[in-house]
Parts: sequence; C-alpha cells; structure tokens
Amino acid sequence: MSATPPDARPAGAVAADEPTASVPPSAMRSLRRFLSKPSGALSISMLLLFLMTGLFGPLFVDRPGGLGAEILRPPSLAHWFGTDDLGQDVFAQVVWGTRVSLTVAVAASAIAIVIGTALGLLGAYSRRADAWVTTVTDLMLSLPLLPLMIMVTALAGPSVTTLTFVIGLFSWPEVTRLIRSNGLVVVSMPYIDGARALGATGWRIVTREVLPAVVPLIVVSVLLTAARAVISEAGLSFLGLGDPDSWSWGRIILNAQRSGVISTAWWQTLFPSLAILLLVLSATVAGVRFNDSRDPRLKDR
Amino acid sequence: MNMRTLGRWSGAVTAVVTALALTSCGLNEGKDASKPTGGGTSTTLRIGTTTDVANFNPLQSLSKTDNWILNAMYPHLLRIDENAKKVPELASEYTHEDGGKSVVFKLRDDFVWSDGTPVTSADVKYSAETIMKNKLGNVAAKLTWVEGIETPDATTVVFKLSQPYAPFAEGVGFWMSVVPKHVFEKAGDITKFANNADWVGAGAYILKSATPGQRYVMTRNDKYPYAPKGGAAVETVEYRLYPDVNTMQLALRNGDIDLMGTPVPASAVASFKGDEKIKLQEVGSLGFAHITYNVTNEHLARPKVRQALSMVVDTKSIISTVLQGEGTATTGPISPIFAEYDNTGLQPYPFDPAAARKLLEEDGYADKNGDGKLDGLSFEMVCDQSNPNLTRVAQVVREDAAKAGVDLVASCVERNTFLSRTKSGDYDLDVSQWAVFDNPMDQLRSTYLSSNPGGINYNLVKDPKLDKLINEAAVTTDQAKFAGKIKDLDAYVHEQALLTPLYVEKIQFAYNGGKFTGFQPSPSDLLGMVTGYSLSQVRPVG
Amino acid sequence: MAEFIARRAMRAILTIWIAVTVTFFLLRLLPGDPTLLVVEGDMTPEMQQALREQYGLDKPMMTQYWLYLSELVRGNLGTSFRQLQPVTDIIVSRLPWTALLAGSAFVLTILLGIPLGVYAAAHRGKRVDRVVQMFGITGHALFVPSIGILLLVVAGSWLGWFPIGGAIDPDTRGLDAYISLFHHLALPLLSLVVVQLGPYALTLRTNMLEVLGEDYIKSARGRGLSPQRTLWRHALRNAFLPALTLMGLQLGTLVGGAVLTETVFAYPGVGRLIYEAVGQLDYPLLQGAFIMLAVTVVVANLITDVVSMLLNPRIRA
Repeated sequence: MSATPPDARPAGAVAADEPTASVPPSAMRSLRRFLSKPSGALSISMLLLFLMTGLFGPLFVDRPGGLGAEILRPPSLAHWFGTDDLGQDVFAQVVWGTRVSLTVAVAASAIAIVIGTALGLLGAYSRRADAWVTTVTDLMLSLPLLPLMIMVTALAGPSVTTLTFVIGLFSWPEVTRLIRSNGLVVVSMPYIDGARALGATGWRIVTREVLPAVVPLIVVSVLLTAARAVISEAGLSFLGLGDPDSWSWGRIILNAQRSGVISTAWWQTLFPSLAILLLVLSATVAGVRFNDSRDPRLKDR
Repeated sequence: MNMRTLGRWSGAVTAVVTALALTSCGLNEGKDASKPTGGGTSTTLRIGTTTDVANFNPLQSLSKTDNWILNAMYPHLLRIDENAKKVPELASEYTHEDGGKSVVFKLRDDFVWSDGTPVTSADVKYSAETIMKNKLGNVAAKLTWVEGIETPDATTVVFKLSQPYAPFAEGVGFWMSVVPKHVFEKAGDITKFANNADWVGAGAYILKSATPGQRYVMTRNDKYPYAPKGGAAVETVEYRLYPDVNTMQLALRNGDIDLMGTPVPASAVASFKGDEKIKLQEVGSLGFAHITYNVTNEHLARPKVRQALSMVVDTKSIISTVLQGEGTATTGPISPIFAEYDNTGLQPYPFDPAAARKLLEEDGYADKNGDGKLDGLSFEMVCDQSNPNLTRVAQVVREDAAKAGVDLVASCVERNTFLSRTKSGDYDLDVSQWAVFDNPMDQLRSTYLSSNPGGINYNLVKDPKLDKLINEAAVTTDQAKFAGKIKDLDAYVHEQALLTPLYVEKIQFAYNGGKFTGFQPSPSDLLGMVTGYSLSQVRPVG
Repeated sequence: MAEFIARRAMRAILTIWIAVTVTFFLLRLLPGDPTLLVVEGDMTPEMQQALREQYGLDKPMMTQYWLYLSELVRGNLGTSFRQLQPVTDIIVSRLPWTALLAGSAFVLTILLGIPLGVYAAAHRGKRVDRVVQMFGITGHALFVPSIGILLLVVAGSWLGWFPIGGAIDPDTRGLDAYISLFHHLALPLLSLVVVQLGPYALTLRTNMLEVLGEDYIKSARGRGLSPQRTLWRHALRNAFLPALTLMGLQLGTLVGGAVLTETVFAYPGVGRLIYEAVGQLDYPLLQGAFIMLAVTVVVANLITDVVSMLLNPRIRA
C-alpha cells in the first residue's frame, strides 16, 4: 500500500497547503492555470491515455489467453512487452488489465466518495454527529486495513465486484476527513448563519450551500481515492485475490512470481509495474495540480 | 527541539529497537543446543521445500513434501535405484515360497534405531499390522492379501498371503515405512499419533528440530549402514521453507540453499543457464500429471460429461508450451513407462471444444438463460499452487472449457490444503500429479476399487464392473493373460474418461554443483535427490 | 498526565473493540456458512463439537458475539483450520518478525524523514526541495511488490549482496546473529522505507512551512536568533510532534505494506502467514491475524502518543 498521510493531506502536501474551500475562481481560469504547468498538462494527458487504453484498447488487442508458440520472449516489434511462460502477449495483458484497474478504481472511488462526503458533511454540519464521525474515521484510519480487505475478499469470493466493494467500503475515511475539515470552514462562514436566520432547513443548507463549496475538493478526492484504489487492487490481485476471469496488473506480476521467472523475464514484472506507477502518479499529480490551480495564493509558485 | 530532547528521543528509539530485536528470537541463544556453535565446522546441506510438514507420522502421511523428510528417517525394506529397480535397503533379500503364497524378507542386522534399539523383524511386523488394522495410507491396499505375518527370528519376516500376488514384495517393500515399535506402540491410538517431537529413526538422517514456517533440521545417523566408510560427509540436512518457487530459485543461485527439493519448472530452467555453479540433474518419471473427476458430482457422474471435458484439454499445446517440450503425452491410466501393459491402441480424446459442446448438448445440456454457458455445468477445479506447471495448466483448461460452455472455477490453493481437500472429496475436478506408480496392478487397485483400500481413489468411483475387472486381473497369474487384462482396464478407464492424462514430465532438479557432488538420484519427484541413501552419499566439492 | 494516558488508553480499547466487532459481524453477514469461521478444515468431529460448544454456534448471533468476545479477552482467537493449533500460538510465534520489520521501518522513516523534511523546508524552492517534493509524490505511486521484486532481483540475486528468504541464520551466535538479523532485514526494510519516506518527509516539510510562517518564529528571527537556530530550536519542535503522531497513524498502512513485503521476501512474519492462510482458506487464522495486527498497531500508537506527550513540555505542564 502506498503511504498516504492519514489526514488526507496528499493534495496539499506538494502545494504546501491544506486544500481549502475558497471561493472558486472561474472555471476557465482554473483550467488554464492547471494546464499551464507542464506537470498538470502531462498528468492529464497520461490519464487520458490510460482512459483511452482502457476503453478502446481491448477493441484492438486480442484478449490474452490460450497457449502461444513463442514463450518468454523479450520485448520485440511483434510483442512490445514480450511474452510470458504461456506465450501470451504481455502487452495485451497490460491493456486488458488497464480496463479492470480503471473500472475498480472509478467504481471504488465512487463508493468511497459518496459515503465519505455524506459522513463528512454530516460531521461538519451537526455538532452532535461530529464526535461520532471523527472518532469512527480516526479509528478506521488507524487500523491495518489490508489484512481486513484480504480476509473479506477471501470469504466473499474474488471477483471484480468484490474487489470494488471491498476497496470502496474501506477507502471512505480519508474522504470524510478531508470533506469534514473543509466543511467546517464553510459552515462557520457568515453567509451560512444568514441562511439559517432566513429559516433554511439543515438539509437545504448542506446540499445548497456547503456541498457546492466543497465540490472542487471532491474532484481532488476522486483522483486521490482512485489512485489509492489502483494500488489496493494490484495488491490484492498480487496476493492471489484477484478476479480469475479478468486480467489485472497485479495478476500479471503474480503469474511471473508463481512461474518462477521474475529474475529472467524482467518484462513480465516491469511493464505492469510501470503501468501502476504511471497511472497512480498521474492521478495524484493531477489531483494536486487541480487543487493548486484553484488556490490564488499559489499563483506565484 | 534542543539537543537534550533529541538525545532523549534517540535514547528512546534505541531502547525500542533493542527491545524489538531481543524479543524477536533471543537471537538464537538457547535454541538447537545440540548443534555446534559457530556453525562453520559442520557440513550442512540446505534444501528448499515449499510447505510445512503436515503429518510427521510416516504410516499416515500421503504428502510428497512430508515424504522427503520422513523417507530419510524411516527405513524401507527396499528402495528404488536410479534405474527404477528395487534394490535392498533394510531387507538384504526376499524370496517367494509356497508357490508365491509366502513372501520371506531377510533383514540386515546392522540397522539401529537412533535410541540404540536394533531394528528387528518385530518392527516390520508391527508397522504392517498397524497399517492393516487402521487402513492407513496407500500401503494398506498393497497388504490386502496378508493373512498373517510371522517372525521366526529377529531378521526374518514372512508374509502369508491368501493368494499369490506378484507385485506384493516390491510394492510393500518399497512403500512401507518401518517404524520403531517400542516408540509407536506407546502412543496409543496410532491414527491420532502426531509424532511431532523426539523422533526415533533408523534412516540416514534423523529429524532434530522443526520450526514451522522456517526450517526442519536433520542430523546424520552415524549407524546408517549404507553410509560411505567414515560416515556420511553431510552432517546436517536442513530443509528451509520457500512458499514460492521463485524465491527458492533465487535462494539457490544466491547460495542460501544448496538444492531445490521441488523440481525446476520448465519455464524457469532458463534462469539457471549461464550460472556455472548450478547443476541440473534429470531424473526419470514414475507418475504422470492428470485431471481427475469426482464422480459423486451428479454431472461428473455422467461419462459423456467427462468425455467432453477430456476434449477441452489441449495436451499437445500444454506439453509444447507449459513444459516447453520437456514431456510426453499419454493416453489412458497406464503410463507408457509400463510398455508391457500400456494399451497402445487407445486413441486420445481430440482437442475440440466445439465438439465437446455438441457432445454435452446431445447429453441433454442446454443454455436456456442465454449466458453462453451450458446450464448446470459449473465445476470447481482444485490444484496445488506450489506446482507452477499445473497452475498454468488449470488456467489454460479453464479458458478452453469456457469455449465448450463449461464453467470451471480454478482454486489453486496451498499444497497441504489441496491435499486435504482432495482427500476429503471436497472438489469437482482435481489437477494433480501422481508421483510414483511402481506397477500397474497396484495403481489400478489403489485408484479405482470402490473399497478404496489405498485411500487414493480420488474419483470416488464405485463401479461394480470396474471392481470386477480389477479383481479378476489381480488373481491372474498367467503373464500374457494378465497383461491383456491390464490393457482391457486401460481401455475401460479411458472410455469412461475417469481421468484425463496430461503428460509424463521430464523432471529436473537444480543443485549447487560448486559446493556438493555425489547425489544418487532416483526417479520421480517423490524421491529425486533427497532419499536418505542419496543424501548420505553426498560429498562437499574439493 | 495520568488523565491523558487514561483517555488514550480508553481510545485504544475502543478501537480494538470496534475492529473486533466489525470483523465479527462483517464476516458473519457475508454469504457462506457462519460456523465455517470457527469449525471446518481438517478438524476431527470431536474437535469441531468442542469448538461449537465453546463458541455457542447453535445460539443467536449476539450470544455468539459475547462468547467470542469473552474468549478473546482470555487471549483465545480460536483454532486454525489447517494447523489445528490455537491461532494465538501460531501468530505469537510470527508476530515478533513483523514487529521488528514494521518497527524498524517506522523508526528509520522518522530518522531519515525529519532531516529531509526540515532541510527541504529550509531550502524551499531549491533543488533539494524539489527532489523531496518529487520523491514525496512518487512515493504514493510506488507498488510495494514491484519495489520488493526489484530489490530482490537486483540487490539479492544479481549482486548477491543480501541473503534471500528467511529472517536470520539460525546457526549464528552472539554478534554474528545480530549481523545476520540485519542482513536479512535489510531488503524488506528498504522496500518499506522507500515507499514511506517520501510522503512522510513531504508532510513534515509542509508542517514546517506552516510553523515557519507563524508570528513567534518571525519574532524569534527578529530577536536576532540565527536562522539555523530558529529552525532547529523553535520550528522543528512545533512541527515534529504532529509529525510523530502522524507517523503513528501511518502504522496501519505500514503493516499492510509488510504483508506484501514479507510475501515477496519469504520473511516469516504475520504478513506471510496471512498470505499462507489465504492459500489455506484458514479463516480463523486470517481473522486472528487481523485482530492481533490491529492490537499491535493500536498499542504502538498509544506508545507514540505517550512518547510525544513526554517530549512535549506544553502538554506535560
């Protein structure tokens, strides 16, 4: 598992600031600022490339399977990423694995975001609920979750659906923490008191006033949670808890490990590893850059 | 933070680290007191194994990895040499009397248990009777005809049989572990005797300590009669645990172990090329890899379903790819090793998933819910995850079965779990490997008799016709007729598709030839390089 | 002070209780036979019956829950399906290795992370700072098994600098034993630290920058204290403690990483035990391993809290 500071600070980490729910500048200006940095443009292009690969790659590349005649060949023009011990094309495995990694990442982060945002807003708005929300969130964050995920996945039976739910259901605390701390700032702003004085219900205040103010943060959260989900999915698949029907980057590495070729067929571990690195890195960088670009204070950096 | 605080902090850190280090293991102090300190003076041979010992009781264990350790510790009447011939071990010779109804083993008088008690005919009688009484392991099947065991003197054992059975002496001689009566008798119920400490053996090496998850240490038995003059050069044999074959290979290349107990998977042979100190030793195979069908499953009970499944197994490609050509195909249950008995007229099931689907549809299966799979045909296929070749086979068969509309779920689990599941019938299909069959009659009796005398009728088949054929063959004394009956059985099992043979594998072991030499390999991965006899002959290089 | 410790201890107990409760109900609500979690595998019928009675498996779930809790308090985590031994014994024999691995990674990350983070903060915008930033963000994207395999193949196999597999050469004595211990520990430790260090240093840098921007630091500078002195004496003190607590909270992920590292390096800790238990479908062992790891992490956190309190004069006063 990658090391994510548990106060969900990764976004702010590089920017040297907590993500803050300031009044958003115009979208166009944000986007321009976002793309003005090479890292922002690069990370977004990389994410798009992965997205395209996941969506359309399988249309052009045959599903890896069966037995090939060329076994354990190093990368060549015919097999860009080489072949494995069954003669299957590693490039095809990585392409098909992209789809699974992205599916799990997106779906799991959607689950985490919904739960995390709901709890975060609840904590920010209701003082009574807040004590509980904070306690439970802190407790979840301090537990070793990978062993728990392993156990639940093993019992529920490995499949893409299981992986998605398990990862999603254990990833919300980071989101809650981020949304709550920034929701608190919004809730204490004078215009919320104003809305309350005008007789707006709690539901209305939360959905109409607080939620929109934290939307940019949710975008950041989506990217960071998805990045973590990719790592989690790869980890579980590497431990043999992946979906046996679907290709996954973790499974490619596991296959290399099980057939005893990691020291010879370096291509079988290198390329899926690179795919994980690049996807997670670009999602993280994009999240960070997005956060920076909303913050006028960081203009000059 | 000032320097004082920093100092206090690093003090705390040091304390934590030290405490952790100390609690970890006491750093070896006080453990293995029997071993010389310093470690450099004795010759230790380190062997990689994949899983913990599941059962230390040699009368009960059916596991290959257990056998590596137990086989070196408990003597057998006969052993198998490098040419697959049975040669004397505890027995110096055996003879048939009374027209084959009495089998007389003459024992050597120089085998001694490690507690000083001599090995006598009483130990052999006790071992055989315990196995018969409790129907233990696959040896029980080989003892079926024994009516009585006599021990006229300390070095003579006479097995009285109800009828002549030619493979008896070799089967029992090779398979039966002889255990110390005076130790095992005290244990009470032998089926519950774990035998997991204070081992008493008479083989070349005796287990001294077992640290599950880490290692098993055996020390030389100075009284082992077959050791070269002056005693075996290797004083300590240490089995180290590497759950994954990759790490084991790296450990061998790195000099952390000297021999891989597990054969090198074909895909990994290349990783040893170019490494001068690593030597590969090829040994013959006495078994074969296969898929077994559990016929207590209502669908797998139907011959057509089994035949159809046999047609989704692409043995040719499996051999050329998974084994990289290092193996041969076989048809029917009798391996081509037994040339005299192998029915060469059998035609293998063709690899044809489409035809397999058609066959299933003829048998009444249909895809009514339109998911592309034939309804009801979903099976769990278990395999041993420490066998890379077979886990790959499982993956390939699974994909091809899907083309025929059959849903196979591959459960490749840890080795001991796999064994316990197959033993209890908790599976539908079983992808595995017979390690050793030393003669076809014993094989057929152990694997297909409904009474399951050997405990390895993994099909759980109860077929009166099959029983009749087997029992008739067993009492046939005329060699030509006997061979004919085995061939008929080969054909019957093949037609019934009780198993789908995969391949007879060329087995290769890798060891550090720069450090050790003199292994006396036997065929099969059950015996390979690690029999007590072989280990006792090993010498350090130079 | 006693009150502080008592409050933290209560919280630790609460965390463990929640961890146990969540696993208990989660696993029993999942499809499959709930009794499967206590009795199955290779057990004899007598053993199964004894456990059924001990855990009241025919009784309602709440009763089972209380029985489970009361057994747990006595240190009984059930019996392993496959090894047929008390789960507690099996785990206790492996736990020290994981504690050593994760503990060393924890300490090493702090010892390397602090200078790195402070230095980066002090030289904000310079090359060092950018390297730390890059390293910090890349750390999130590193996949532990990939790093592990890389180290294993390059440093272990190609260069042959480190032993492969195991945690110590059991035949060594005295000083040699310590050397062997650290020799075996090096690669698994390194693969954990590589992943943890960057993000940690980065967080510390962020905290430092915040602190450096505060008024009292400015006034300290104004009083004529040297920048070095201000940095180490005032700023680090205030940035360090939150960072320590933060690292404490990192322990959960650290232990998760250890599961993967131990698998790659055949290191005999609880992590590899979990991997083996997955292959053995040994649910009581899995459940026990999680609970024991959770307890370890929570206790380690408690210790971290107490240590920070002792180091922090403001809390102590």
